[in-house]
Amino acid sequence: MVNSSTKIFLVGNPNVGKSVIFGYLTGTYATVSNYPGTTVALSQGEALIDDKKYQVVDTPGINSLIPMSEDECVTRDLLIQNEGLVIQIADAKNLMRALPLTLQLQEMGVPMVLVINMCDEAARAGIKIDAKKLESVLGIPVVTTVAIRKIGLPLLKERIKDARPCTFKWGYSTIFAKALKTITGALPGEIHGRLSVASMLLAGDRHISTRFKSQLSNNVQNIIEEQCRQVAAYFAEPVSFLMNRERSTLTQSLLEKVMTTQKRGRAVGAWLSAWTMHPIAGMIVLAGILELVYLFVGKFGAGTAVDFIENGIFAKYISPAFIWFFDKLLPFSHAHNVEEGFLVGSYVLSGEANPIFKILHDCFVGPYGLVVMGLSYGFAIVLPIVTTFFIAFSLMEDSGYLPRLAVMVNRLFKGMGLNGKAVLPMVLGLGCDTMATLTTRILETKKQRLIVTLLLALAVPCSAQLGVLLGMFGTMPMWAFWVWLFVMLGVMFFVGFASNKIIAGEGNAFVMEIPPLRVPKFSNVAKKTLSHLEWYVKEAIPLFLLGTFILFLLDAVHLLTRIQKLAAPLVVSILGLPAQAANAFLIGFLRRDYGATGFFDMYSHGQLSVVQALVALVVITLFVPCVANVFMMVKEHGGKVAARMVFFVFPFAFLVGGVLNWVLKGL
Amino acid sequence: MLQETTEDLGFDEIKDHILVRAWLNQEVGKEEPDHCLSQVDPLEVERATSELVKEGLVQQKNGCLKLATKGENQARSLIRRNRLAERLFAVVFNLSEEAVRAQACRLEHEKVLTPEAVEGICSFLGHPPSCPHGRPIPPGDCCRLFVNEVRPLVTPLSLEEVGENYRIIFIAPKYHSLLERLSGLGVIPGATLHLLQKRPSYVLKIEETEIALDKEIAEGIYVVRHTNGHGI
Ligand SMILES: Nc1nc2c(ncn2[C@@H]2O[C@H](COP(=O)(O)OP(=O)(O)O)[C@@H](O)[C@H]2O)c(=O)[nH]1
Ligand SMILES: [Mg+2]
Ligand SMILES: [Zn+2]
Ligand SMILES: [Zn+2]
Repeated sequence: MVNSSTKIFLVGNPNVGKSVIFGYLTGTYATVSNYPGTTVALSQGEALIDDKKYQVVDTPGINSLIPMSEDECVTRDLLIQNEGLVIQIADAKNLMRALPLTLQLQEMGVPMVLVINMCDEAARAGIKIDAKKLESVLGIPVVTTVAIRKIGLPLLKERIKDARPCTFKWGYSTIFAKALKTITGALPGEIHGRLSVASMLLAGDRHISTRFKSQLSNNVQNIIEEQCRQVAAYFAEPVSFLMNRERSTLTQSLLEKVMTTQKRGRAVGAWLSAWTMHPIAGMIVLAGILELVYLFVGKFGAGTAVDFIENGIFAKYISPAFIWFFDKLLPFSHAHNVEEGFLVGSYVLSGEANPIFKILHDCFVGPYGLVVMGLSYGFAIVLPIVTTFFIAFSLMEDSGYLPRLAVMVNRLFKGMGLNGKAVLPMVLGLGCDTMATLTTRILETKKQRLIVTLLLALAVPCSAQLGVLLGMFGTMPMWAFWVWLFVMLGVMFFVGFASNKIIAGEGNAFVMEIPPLRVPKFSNVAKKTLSHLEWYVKEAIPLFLLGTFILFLLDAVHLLTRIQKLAAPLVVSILGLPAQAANAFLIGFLRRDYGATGFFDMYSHGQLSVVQALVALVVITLFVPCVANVFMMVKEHGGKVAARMVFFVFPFAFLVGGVLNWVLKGL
Repeated sequence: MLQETTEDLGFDEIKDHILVRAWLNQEVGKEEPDHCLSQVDPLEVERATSELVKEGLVQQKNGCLKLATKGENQARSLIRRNRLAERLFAVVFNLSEEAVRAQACRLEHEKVLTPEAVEGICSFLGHPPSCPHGRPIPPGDCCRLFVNEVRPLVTPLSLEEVGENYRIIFIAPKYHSLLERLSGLGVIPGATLHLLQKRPSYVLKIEETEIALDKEIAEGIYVVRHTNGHGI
């Protein structure tokens, strides 16, 4: 039954442990998260089991083979077109939701193994499952596991070779059964899993019918349409719902035979969980968590750690070492300035310099040098902030707090045409907007995805930027920070509210599964943080270097002064900033945080007043998203939408800055 | 849905059955056999049909029966009674689908349930849109006015209290796609839920799954309070 290059699809409801098992089988890491729907892209890996090579695919979670959202569609399409075998992962606490999916997989006729995972949590909830009996009823191997502790997983490996199609005896009620028989009979023989295709067609699955259209003669199409129409006319409720219901009813009677539940008192976790979602206690919990995050990311990450790496390592050893090295390599008479006891990139020229030497020297260790500015910025200032942010974020994600936060903010988000679910991309955006734009796929409607993408691009500063901003606000009067926060939230709600009215689209009903609170696993938090960091280093550091290089070039050919002149009316008259501020905006096109550093620098040299600095920070926060984010926007929504968003954001940022300048000056 | 066991049908009841069958034919768009009528003397059926034609309730067109406006009204209220009765038995006594059918069939005739009683049942059940088999219940005046004199047995979850268990009777959401999403999460008629909280969002628990949802959705989930075990 199983030959050498077989594919194994890991399928199951959201948040049941598919990614953990994927990691075990393949030895590669796929994002493990305690937030339903976070596997948005497919992960593939190889596994060697009994000396046979398998291609293992981790799929986005699904509750039914009739897709409701984009990621459910991905999984279903894969299963339909591919031959291979399926490992269905079920949450032992929730077989009621897993087995209806098993029944649908049975219709597909794929060989499969059923894994009943999370047996530890089920045992704690007083649930006992007779796996042997279930195995004999379903006719497929059933393995019970605790994936995070690898219990049962070796046995799973052993039993993969026993995978076979499910042979449970069941059927729909007469009216569905008849229609299914007719449709199945009409479908051409070369279609794979005809019963399953028939039941999807009957359930009114649009994707499927367009997909098979070319393979079906007009006559067959008419038969199908007629059957669907007749059955649909018969009922007040949608056919897919009624079919779901029948599978659930069946599951219920099946479970009565194999599962026993002993009522337990309310566990500590349940109390905690209730507090985090309580209208008042929940706000206190939220405030507490924000405070902790602020202490960890804002104070420790952006303060202590940045200070240590920037002043303790870069300014003390790395920059001076590179400066020394290039001064030896490319000698010309000059003396580097000293700031706070450390050598810096700017220098005083004494006498004639070899122009080639000078240019090469400046490129690396001049005022806009790749090492002195680019590297030290990317590693010393941003990296500690990004790291601490992602640690905090992973903890919130893995403990299961984020979905509870979604419950708390749902109402607020509704005003923006979103619902609580959007909390994940929005919070993730505080880490990296690009990554967050990718996770908008977990949202159900196109409209919601568009709104969140726009808000991310406009008003959610990523951790790199946030770090610079927090650092800068630390040196400014407190009120400046509150004004900034107020403007950002105001802009976000205003734009969200307006785009909700403008963008056409379906409703934003909030239905979300709340996974249990779990103690985050250290290894997983570490792995996840590392993989985020890897992403950051690969994506952002090259951009820093590129940005620095462009600045260097512009400076070298004296373009900077000319651009300053050109942009002066905008920068000087509308925003009330000095002309050099144009530099920072210019570089802000590459990365907003980079622009912010420019203002940081100007402010600390006394070139900006508090009001000016505040206006500049507001504009740069709202400024165009970074290049990588724009690419992601293009990938997710197409070039036209991305272009429109960017062209909206750019003038809008200046408009808000202008208004703010005008208001503050008036006060 | 109309299957009486053996008892003989009176002449008026045969007429009712003919009307109902005509309604079903129009609703579904094809002929459906009526188990009860097939047990009655065909001559009787013919006699009843011609009387219905004479009364102007139905028209006979090349062998097919079509309801006239008057007949349609009468058939609608028959169907309404039948399906409401099914709901009633399913909710109150938790009867099996087959038993529900047989019982409801007897209750559909006017002699048994007066129009007032029908309205009372409808309000009591929270004006359900469909019978337990998923077929539509034609709305009556009470559904449009939403007069709630009796405290209904079946109420939207949004009117219920936190901390109790409820059995879901039916779900009438604003748009249909929601039904599918809810059913994927185990929110289906027949399931028992525990209402954990209503603010800031609704959170309920079915088996071991906690599900958060909007008030608007909770308004469309109709439940009865669940004491231990079955029934109400
Ligand atoms: N207690 C417990 N938690 C588990 C088990 N397996 C996975 N988890 C946790 O469940 C959550 C979801 O796991 P994940 O693999 O991301 O699920 P997926 O969405 O199905 O890919 C993570 O927080 C895991 O740490 C298990 O056997 N027991
Ligand atoms: Mg996953
Ligand atoms: Zn030098
Ligand atoms: Zn009514």
